[in-house]
Amino acid sequence: MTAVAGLYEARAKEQYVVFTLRSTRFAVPILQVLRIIRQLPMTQVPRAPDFLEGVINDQGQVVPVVDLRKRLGLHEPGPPAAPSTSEDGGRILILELPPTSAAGEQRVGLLVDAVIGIVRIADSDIQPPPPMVAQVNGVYLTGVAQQDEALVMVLNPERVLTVDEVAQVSRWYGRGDV
Amino acid sequence: MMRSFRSIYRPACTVFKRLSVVYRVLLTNLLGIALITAALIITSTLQTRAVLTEKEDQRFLDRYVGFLTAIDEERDTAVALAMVTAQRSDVQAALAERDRPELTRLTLPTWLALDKRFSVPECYLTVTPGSVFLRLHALDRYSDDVSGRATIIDALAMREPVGGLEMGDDGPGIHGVAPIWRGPEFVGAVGYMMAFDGEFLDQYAGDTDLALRVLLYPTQLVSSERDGVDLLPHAATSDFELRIPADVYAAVRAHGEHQVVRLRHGGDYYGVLVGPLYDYSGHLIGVVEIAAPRTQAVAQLRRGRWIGLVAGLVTMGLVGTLSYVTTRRMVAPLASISEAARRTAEGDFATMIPVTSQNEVGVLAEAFNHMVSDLRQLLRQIADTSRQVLGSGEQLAAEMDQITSSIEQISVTVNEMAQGAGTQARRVEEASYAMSTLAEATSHIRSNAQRTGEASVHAIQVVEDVARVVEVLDRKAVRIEQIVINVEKIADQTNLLALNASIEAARAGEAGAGFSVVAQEVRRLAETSTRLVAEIAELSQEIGDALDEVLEKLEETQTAVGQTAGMAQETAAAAGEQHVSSDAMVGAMNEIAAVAEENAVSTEQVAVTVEQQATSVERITAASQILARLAGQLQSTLVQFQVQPDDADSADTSLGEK
Repeated sequence: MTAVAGLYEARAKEQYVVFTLRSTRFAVPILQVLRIIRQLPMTQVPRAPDFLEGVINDQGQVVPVVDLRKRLGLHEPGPPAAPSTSEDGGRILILELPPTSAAGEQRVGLLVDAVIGIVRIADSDIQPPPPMVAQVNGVYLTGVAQQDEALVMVLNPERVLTVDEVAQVSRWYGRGDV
Repeated sequence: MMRSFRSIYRPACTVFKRLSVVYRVLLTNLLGIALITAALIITSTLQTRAVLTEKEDQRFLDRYVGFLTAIDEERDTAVALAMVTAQRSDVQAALAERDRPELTRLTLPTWLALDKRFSVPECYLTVTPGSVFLRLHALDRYSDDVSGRATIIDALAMREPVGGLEMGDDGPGIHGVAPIWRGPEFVGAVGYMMAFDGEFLDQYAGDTDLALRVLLYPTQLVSSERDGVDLLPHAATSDFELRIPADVYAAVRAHGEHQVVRLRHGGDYYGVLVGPLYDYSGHLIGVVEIAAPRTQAVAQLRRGRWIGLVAGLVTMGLVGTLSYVTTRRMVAPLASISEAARRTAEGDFATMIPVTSQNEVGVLAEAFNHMVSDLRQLLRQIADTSRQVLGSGEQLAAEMDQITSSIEQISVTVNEMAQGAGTQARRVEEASYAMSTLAEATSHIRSNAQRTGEASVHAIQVVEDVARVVEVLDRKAVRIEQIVINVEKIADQTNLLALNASIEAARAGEAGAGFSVVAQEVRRLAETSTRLVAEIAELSQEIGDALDEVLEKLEETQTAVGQTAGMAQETAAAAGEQHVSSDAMVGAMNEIAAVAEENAVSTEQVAVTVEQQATSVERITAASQILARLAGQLQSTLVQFQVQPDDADSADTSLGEK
């Protein structure tokens, strides 16, 4: 019984949610994604850290949203912003970050262009990020995988925000400004 | 050794793994307590044995010391007897005169009386420097040298009473020697020997449970020669039957100290002290063995072991029962959770677990309930969406039916128009032919031209009919576009829901495995829907373009027909006036022929376009039928999940944005 459960867990671990930013494909581990929602109008918050796009109300919980394009530096040197393919705007991935020493368990929203689907990527198919990654700082990446003849950047969501930033977010919305 | 251990350990492990948690905990606890009990019994036994041994050793030492003291007391008696004899003045005088018969007469009765009463086997009188003057126990042996007898030599030399255990010619005895004086003159010494034999040992043992034995080295040997030589038994109490290991004697001789050994004989446990025996001069002459049964100590040890064992078993029973009951209580809710998880995996989403405790198990149950309710809500949303898709698909199919019939109508009308145009062209040709025969020309031309005009008017009416139908078609096409947008939105929504369902299933682990397959299926259906809708949108665009083209051609036809009508009227007028030259007439007729031809070509083009349109519409119909079937399939997939109906209202409101 435990062996079967372990197998399921291992298979769940190898599942990733794939989404696009500009024309680049990214993947995050499915177990860290809580749900996917449509882009909502965001509440701008005074004195919030500049990487925060704003906050949204997700099922009664206030969740800070990070614009991954800004975070990954994809907005400045890239091609002029392609109009969003979906008429109702982008998607927000609600992630659940594991607790760290600086802050407890934390939910963060990632603003992305579109969600492509869920794929299975074996750990052995993930190669370490090339030393010269043009657009994305290697710190955020677990590696690069080949998926249907397209390259997928496998993101490490725990690294998308540094420990300090998580703590900053935690402090900021623990203060009750919202 | 190692292999046999594994051959037991491996299957034991396998059996242990198959046990339920309750029995695993029980078995572990019992094993632990058994180990602790065994350890306690072993340590307490060792400790008790050490204490008992020490106590026993002390008791044996006391007996040994008591035995030595008994020898000393016997020696004191012998010395006292000698001193009493030495005080007799007649004996003093007789010895001073060396009068052996007188001395015998004086002392013999006393010794005989003493020997009879106290067992004093020897009595002797000695003189300086070291010879026996008289032996009362062997009257015929005297004047022999006894310089080897330390007691006699010391008494004669120091002129003081001495005594102790000593080997004589006939074996060991307890000697007491006292000096004899006549006034200031030292005349000799008198000695008594007390028996050191089985009787002495019996006397010492008395009515105790002791058994004693004395063993001696052969008399002639000096101590350095005694290695490997057996001690010879000298005397023993009647019940002494023990066999002492030879190395014990070697140890006693080597250390000069007593040794205690424990052994079994005839089913009983015995302790034996083997103590050295020293003579008056301090030479080791043999050993004494003091034996006593150890029944009490052994019984005490056994009792202790039994108490430990019983206490261990009682503890095992108590702890076993306690752990069995406690573990059962803890594990019982887990069984209901796993049963619920199994039912959920089979598709029964109505399962709810009662949360009874606040501990980890309770938290698990609560989390499980939360997960199931999330899944249930997602399912309901998907079901609602798919119902909407089904509705839209059916609507689309109905619209398509209408469009098909409209197009058939157009087809019929256009055919009529083509016929009209053909008639017109034929008439013009006839008119043209009539020009050659000018005789009846004028009247014929006029009637022909009039008929051409009538045909043209009919053609105009037909074109107007077609235009009306095409306009209706255009409105339908716009309506289709709206429906397509709606279906697109619904498919998008279904896709998002299916993604979230997949995520939820992945987070649920094993319990979500079955559901994960369903979510994937739903997502695939949504993707197919999206693709079909895109295809329909494309085809609908094509129809729109074709309709525009039809309208354009119709306009052209209208213009051409109008021109034909105008020219026919002109011709008719000209023929009527009869002033028109035949050349002009021929020119006008040619022009009419050209326009009529143009008209016919345009109408044919319209017919072709309408044909293309009909093909597009057929493809749309096929696609929307597939869409409706997909939605039906989605519905039937969702039927296998049992969703409680009471939350249905909330699920509807969550889809309000649609």
